[in-house]
Amino acid sequence: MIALILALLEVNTLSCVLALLPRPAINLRVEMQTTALSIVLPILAIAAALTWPGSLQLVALPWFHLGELYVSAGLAIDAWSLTMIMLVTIIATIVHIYSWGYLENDPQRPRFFGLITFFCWMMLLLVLSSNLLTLFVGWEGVGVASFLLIGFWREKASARQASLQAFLANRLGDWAFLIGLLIVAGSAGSWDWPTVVASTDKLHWTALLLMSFGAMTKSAQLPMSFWLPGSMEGPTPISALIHAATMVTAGVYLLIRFEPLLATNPITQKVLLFVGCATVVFMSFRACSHPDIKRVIAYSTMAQLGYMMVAVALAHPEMALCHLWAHGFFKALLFLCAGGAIVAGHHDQRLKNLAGILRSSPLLTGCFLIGLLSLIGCPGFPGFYSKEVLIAQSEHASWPVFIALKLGALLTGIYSGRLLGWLLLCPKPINALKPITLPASMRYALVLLAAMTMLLIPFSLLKTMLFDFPWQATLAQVHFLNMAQEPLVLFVLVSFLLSMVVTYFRHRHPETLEKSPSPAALWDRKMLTATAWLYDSVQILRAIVERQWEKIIAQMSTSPLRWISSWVLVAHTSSLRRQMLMLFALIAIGAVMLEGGKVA
Amino acid sequence: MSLFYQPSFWLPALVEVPLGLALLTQFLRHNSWLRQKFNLFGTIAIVLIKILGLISLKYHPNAHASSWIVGHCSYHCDRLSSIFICLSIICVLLTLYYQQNDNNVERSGHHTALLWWLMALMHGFFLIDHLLGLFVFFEASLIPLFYWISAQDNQQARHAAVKMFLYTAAGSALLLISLMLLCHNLPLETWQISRLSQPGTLPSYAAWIPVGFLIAFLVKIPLWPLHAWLPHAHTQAPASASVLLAALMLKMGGYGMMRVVCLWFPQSLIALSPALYTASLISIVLISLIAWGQSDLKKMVAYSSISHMGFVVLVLTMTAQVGADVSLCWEAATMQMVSHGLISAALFFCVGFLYERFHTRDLSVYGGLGSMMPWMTTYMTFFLLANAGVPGLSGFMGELSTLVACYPHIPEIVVLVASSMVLSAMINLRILIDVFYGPLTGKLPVPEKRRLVDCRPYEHHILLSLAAGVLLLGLYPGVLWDWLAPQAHNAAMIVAQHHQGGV
Repeated sequence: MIALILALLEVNTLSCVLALLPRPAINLRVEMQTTALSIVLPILAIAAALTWPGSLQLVALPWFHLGELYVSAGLAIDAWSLTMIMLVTIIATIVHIYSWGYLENDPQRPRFFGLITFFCWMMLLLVLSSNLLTLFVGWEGVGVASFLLIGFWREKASARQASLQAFLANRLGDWAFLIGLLIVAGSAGSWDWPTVVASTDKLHWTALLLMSFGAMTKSAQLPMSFWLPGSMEGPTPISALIHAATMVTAGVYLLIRFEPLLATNPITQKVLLFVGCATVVFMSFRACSHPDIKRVIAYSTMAQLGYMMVAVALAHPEMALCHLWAHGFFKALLFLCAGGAIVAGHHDQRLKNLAGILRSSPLLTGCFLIGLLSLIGCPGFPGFYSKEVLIAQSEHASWPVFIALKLGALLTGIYSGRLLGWLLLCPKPINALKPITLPASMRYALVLLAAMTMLLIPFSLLKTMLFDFPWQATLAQVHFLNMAQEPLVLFVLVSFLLSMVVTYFRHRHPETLEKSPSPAALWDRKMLTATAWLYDSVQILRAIVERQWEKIIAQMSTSPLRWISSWVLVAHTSSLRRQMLMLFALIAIGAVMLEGGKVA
Repeated sequence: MSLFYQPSFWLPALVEVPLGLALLTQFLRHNSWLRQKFNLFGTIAIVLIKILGLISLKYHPNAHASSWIVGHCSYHCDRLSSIFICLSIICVLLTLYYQQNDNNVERSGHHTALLWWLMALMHGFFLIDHLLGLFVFFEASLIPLFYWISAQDNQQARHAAVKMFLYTAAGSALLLISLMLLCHNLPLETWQISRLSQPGTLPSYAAWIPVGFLIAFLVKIPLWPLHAWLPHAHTQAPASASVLLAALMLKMGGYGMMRVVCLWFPQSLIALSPALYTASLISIVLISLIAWGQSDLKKMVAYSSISHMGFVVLVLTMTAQVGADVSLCWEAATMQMVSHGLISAALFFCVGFLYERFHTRDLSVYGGLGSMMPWMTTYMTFFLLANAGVPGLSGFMGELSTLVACYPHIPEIVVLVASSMVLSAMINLRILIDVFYGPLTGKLPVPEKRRLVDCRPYEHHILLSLAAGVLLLGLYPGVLWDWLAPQAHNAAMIVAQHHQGGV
């Protein structure tokens, strides 16, 4: 089994090294190499999972030492990491196939494939490592890969800015993570997983809080969520692979690993619970009104990650992983469908320009429907099983959390319905009447992923026969027939349908379309303002250092004006009423959670 | 054969072979054929000698030998100095290789000779075992670079060269005064650095004498607020001079601090530590912010290298702290310096390559080179990420070991220093995005007649060899740390004895 994992890593290294060197323009050989090698990867991963003996396997080699601190490089293979490598390799392979068609005429294709393999490599390192430092290598590595891939179209100004924003935000989280690492090194005396996890009494509580902050940044939870919507400027296959299925789940994965420590750290647990709930509610609201198809899905991703955070905070890592596993598939499917719609709509991502675009493509419609029904948790689809248990579980824990999660589920129905309403019900604009013909590889990838999403639950339920992962037990708790006792599902389905209809009618009366941005958008803008402020201060500082008085005066006179005007802009474009409402809601949820709610 | 392993052969040769080559190339500067033969011979010879030296050091950790030319002047080589000699050989030889191949840069005999001079003086500084000799080489190594920068026909360049000279000469004057006052009672033969490093051998001294030594080295490193000479010198220096300035000259300050200040005056270092921690924190954070606001490509790299050297001062100040892991501090400082040497050399080379093509360093003019120069983009991305401290590359190892060494004693400062995670990313990604991303600005003087060439073969060779070093140290830091370990341990013993004596 270990040999299989090593083979997996070696194949990936090989394909990465082969692909990353610069090549002249379109070079089919690189793509064929990386795609062929990427097909081997999930086979090896599944084979490794099948031959897993059922207990934690550690392989560690001494790497280096820093004084008393011995650092090893190694692999930790257990149910958690095996699940993750299956998810990463399967989605990566499908994205490889899909990208053949998606980037059909892009001269930079070899670089794209090289970067995807580099990303996979780093992600595998992250999930397989037996040591916090090697994990950190992968953690930063996926950040770098994400930066390079969001900015893949270098000519696009918005992509450049978004890639920079994403990397800097992640670095801010990594700052906290690094300090957490230093505290762990001081108190636990080692960065190896078994030692760290066993050192509950020695570890200072701030270490875990700081690392959780790093995880929250990686998983785009409030308040560090502002980078994920921007990352949608990257190519859509990347959004499917990195910003839905794998990289953003790394934060949740880290916390799943930290579960034994979390159980003894009520502060971090409460923070995670609060952040998770707030993200679920706010991001779902945001998704209900955003005009951009990919960003709606991105906000929905954040909300779903919020569910996973809540699961971890409620000491149910197996539920978090179960949702992570299912979410990885159906969210990637949604993104790939959105990619198809975007290709058909000539790379326009705005919903109003994509109206009715699914009508001429039954394949896209079918796949999109599978993805959406999974997302809202329709019985029979994977999202139902993974989310339903979680919501039911939260009822035992604390009622504000339960309400937040239910509200999130309801909103999921609303924004999913809105998406489908726009893309399917609304009539097409006149200029887009010809039928869609997607490239063959995109069609194959979509069908493959849709089939896998549908087969996910039967496949996962073969627990005693194939695997024996702890999260599979959670699936068995949900029975299809329980649905009747759970009115939530009906509510969600009704809201889904209603929202579709409402969208259709609102489309016919454009004056009712929403105009004011929501608090989440304001938060993004505030971060931008803060960056501008920082930049201006640096300019002034520099002018002082270089003794250029006229420059200092110029900066001093213009900068405050700019700051004020940007704040005024923010204040004017938002609805004050809604801002206040959100603020009160936030305070109320926080107060109730800290005072009344009890963590199980 | 065993003769060659004797320190009496290889140790003086490390200094005096380059010296001889410098003289020869200086005299034969008009005969390019002979000069090339000498360069080739010198390159092979110095590498072979260095390998012999490393093998010899592996079995005998300390080597002593007297000079061939000046009999009572002796050299001393241990594992620490051998690391810096390696760095210097790599950087000087790569620069030489660059000069031999580059068409546009001055290829006259003068500049070849300057390189050999610089190598000889640098090796002299790292190897000399006499305090006065240390001063002489410290001061003299400035001359080739001063000449190099001021030789350009440009008023600003001369201004920058004079500024550099005045700053460092003021530091050297302090060094001279301090060492004179420290040792004036001892006979000249006993001013050996290796002997004075033994606790108890140091004569009594006034409290400010360590400050003199310290300031001399801090100007060279350079630490805020003594840094003002560096960015100007860099902007005016040609590419190869910048490489040597960043990769080697700055290391002289760090090396001197390790050798002299940390081992001789730990008590004074403790007294000065609040000031030094503050200054290095400012160096790291504030200078990073200033680097971010620059618009000149070379100035950005120069400022970011000041901020990286701040880590070295921080961790070396830590060595004096009672209870600190001195050997870890030594390893961290060495790693940070070597890694900075490789990365900044590569970045200055890259900037030089770009300057040679476009004759500008203004960031606002650059843009959109990504699709035209894919190889250059790949290299630059690699080195900028290394400079930003991405794990797996050597820059991260230097920073991580520094933070691990300092965290138990000064957690508040380390938390702030770790913000360089964000700040260095801001600087380096700004360079990457402004130069290689986006559409072509149209202001860039792209050559019309001949096609814009991506990396030429020699540029590949230079950058690949530096990249290999960065990757090696990032993945197997043990290569450096295991080599240094015995000596770092020794340093820890010496500092511990000082603390016992002081208490």
